[in-house]
Amino acid sequence: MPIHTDQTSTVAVTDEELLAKRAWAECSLADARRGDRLTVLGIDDDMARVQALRFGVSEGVCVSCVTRIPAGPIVMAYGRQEIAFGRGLARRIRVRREEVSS
Amino acid sequence: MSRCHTHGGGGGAPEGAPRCSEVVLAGNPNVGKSAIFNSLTGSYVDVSNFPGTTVEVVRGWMGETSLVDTPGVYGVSSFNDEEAVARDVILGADVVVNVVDAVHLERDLFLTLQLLDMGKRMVVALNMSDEARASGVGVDRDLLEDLLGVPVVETAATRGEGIEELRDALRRARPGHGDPELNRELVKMDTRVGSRAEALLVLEGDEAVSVRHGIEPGKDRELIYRARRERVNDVVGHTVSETREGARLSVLLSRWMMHPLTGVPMLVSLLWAMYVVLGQWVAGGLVGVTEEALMQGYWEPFVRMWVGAAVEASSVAGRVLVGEFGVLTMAPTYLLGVILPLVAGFYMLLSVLEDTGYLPRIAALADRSLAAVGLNGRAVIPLILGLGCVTMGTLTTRILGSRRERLIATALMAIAVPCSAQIAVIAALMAGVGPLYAGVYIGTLFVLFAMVGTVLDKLTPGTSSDLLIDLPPLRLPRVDNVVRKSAFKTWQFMREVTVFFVLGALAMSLLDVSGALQWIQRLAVPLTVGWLGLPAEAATAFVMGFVRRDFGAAGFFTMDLSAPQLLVAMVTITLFVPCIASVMVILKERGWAYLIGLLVGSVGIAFLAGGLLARVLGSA
Repeated sequence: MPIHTDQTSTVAVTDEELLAKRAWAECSLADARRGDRLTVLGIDDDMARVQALRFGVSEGVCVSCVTRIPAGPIVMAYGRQEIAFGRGLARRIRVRREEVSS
Repeated sequence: MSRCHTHGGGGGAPEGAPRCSEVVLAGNPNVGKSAIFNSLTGSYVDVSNFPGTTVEVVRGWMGETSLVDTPGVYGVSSFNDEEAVARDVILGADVVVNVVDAVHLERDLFLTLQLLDMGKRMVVALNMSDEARASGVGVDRDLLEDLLGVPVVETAATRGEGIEELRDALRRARPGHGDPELNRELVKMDTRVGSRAEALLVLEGDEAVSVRHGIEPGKDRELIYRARRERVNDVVGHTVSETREGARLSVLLSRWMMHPLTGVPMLVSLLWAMYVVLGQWVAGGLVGVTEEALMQGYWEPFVRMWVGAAVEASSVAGRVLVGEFGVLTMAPTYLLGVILPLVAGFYMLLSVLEDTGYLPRIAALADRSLAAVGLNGRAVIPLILGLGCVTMGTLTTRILGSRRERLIATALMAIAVPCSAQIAVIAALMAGVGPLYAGVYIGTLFVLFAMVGTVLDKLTPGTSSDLLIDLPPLRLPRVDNVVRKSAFKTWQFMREVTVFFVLGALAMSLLDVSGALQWIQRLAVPLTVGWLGLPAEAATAFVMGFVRRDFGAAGFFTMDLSAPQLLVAMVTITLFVPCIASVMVILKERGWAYLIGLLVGSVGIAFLAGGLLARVLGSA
């Protein structure tokens, strides 16, 4: 019993830490901060999905947020490729935070 | 079409140099295709850094072989005009030289693998290999060649490295390794359409190509793209090694360009510099020489003398040919004396902006503001060009993603954006009345721009497209490239609009000769005097403003107006209908209904805003 409690509390602490750091959370690209590493989960726009595929961005790909222009586009980098996504489009791109900027 | 087309299809061609065949250059935007084309042919072709500024295709010769350049595209399909043009040129190619940027292989190889699937005989030019080395990117050329199955040649075209090797490699061009999974479907479709390349496009759901063959477009584009993307990632994973990833000055600079706090001051400084160069040096200085000294000093007396020998100058024919709005006097003077230097200057600056990679960053910066008027960031390009010449800006709305955006951008430019010829005259007039009035003038235009844009955004049906734009690395522009590119674009522009200026001059001459011009002037008097509080001659200036926007503004020089009157006149003449050449281009690009709506709207807004301003200022 005590061992079990210890284990769960360890996990809970880790989760809290992660949540505090905003990692592992699913959100839209529009919520990304500069320096975040993100995994793309889905692009809910047919045209943009096909165009993004050509640039190298598709589901499962890990990208980083280069900058977010206040109320404007999100710029993300994939390798050395930088792409700006308008804010409206960014909201339709689902991502998971893997690592957050310190 | 090639003058001696040999349809080799896949393989089949004999060893040795392909004689009399068509070699096509294909690659993403901004990979140095123009430099490769120049070194291979010794002549120039326009290739823009910014995705989508031109759809011209230019051909050069390497001995018997013709070399055709295509617009930079990220893939072969029909997402826009450039792609459709590139697609058709590539479909007709015997050999494709695929230029890739060694620094951005994960992006560029997507097109490469698509070309391989098309079964074209191919050579890959691994360009910017010098830049790749400098930035710590290593590419295993031998392995890349094995994986792709076609010759891969390292080039640094701007330094002329690797060009001879590339020329030699053309002999070894061959179809490479396509996607084996796709092969069965491709072979099946090939038997229906008779070309592997077109078969691929049909499978990828390309409507234009499918329609040509009367086949239902395929529905598996996304599946095919996804599989291709995985293969690209695989190839990149095996061949590319990064030794370091530096946060260099250009990374910071790029961020500053796009952040409003730093980006807006940078953009304002840029616009100010453009105003100084174009408004003051070119429009104020150079045009004085080209228009007054050359065209009016030498050309017009010359042509009047010759025409005068044949017809009476005061006759109808004489007035149409060499009168105030003459087809042989005003049209060439305006075209060569005013428009040519201004447009050349503008394209020169635009080429610098394109080659540095600043332009897409301005698009990102302006995206939020332009969203408020139903446009996305991409629209800054026609709008900035519109400040040079509204006709030029209107033609450039072709790059916008939807019809809706083209309608809004065209109207905004025609109504609220003064062209550089006009800015120069207005600046000269306003200089005498102090910065307060200049501020009110600029402020009024901004407010009207926002209001007209907001209303159009509400009224125009449909939805605007979102910004999705590739940000190329920041680079220093190369002078020779800038000069050649702007010369080429200026030539294209002049070729396209000359007829409209001549037709415009003809229309004005006929109005003048028939007496309709005087009648319009008389008709407008109550409006100008009663409502705007301007002298009666102002009506003449407004009509002149239709011929040439700067003429309209210049007409006020001699009128001895008070400061508020001058402000009212300047605001009204700016908002008033665009010049007759833009009207012609708008008619061609958007049609009659749109043009009439636009003319009614701009005249209405011009007089409404001018009259209200006159009442606020108490000058009427």
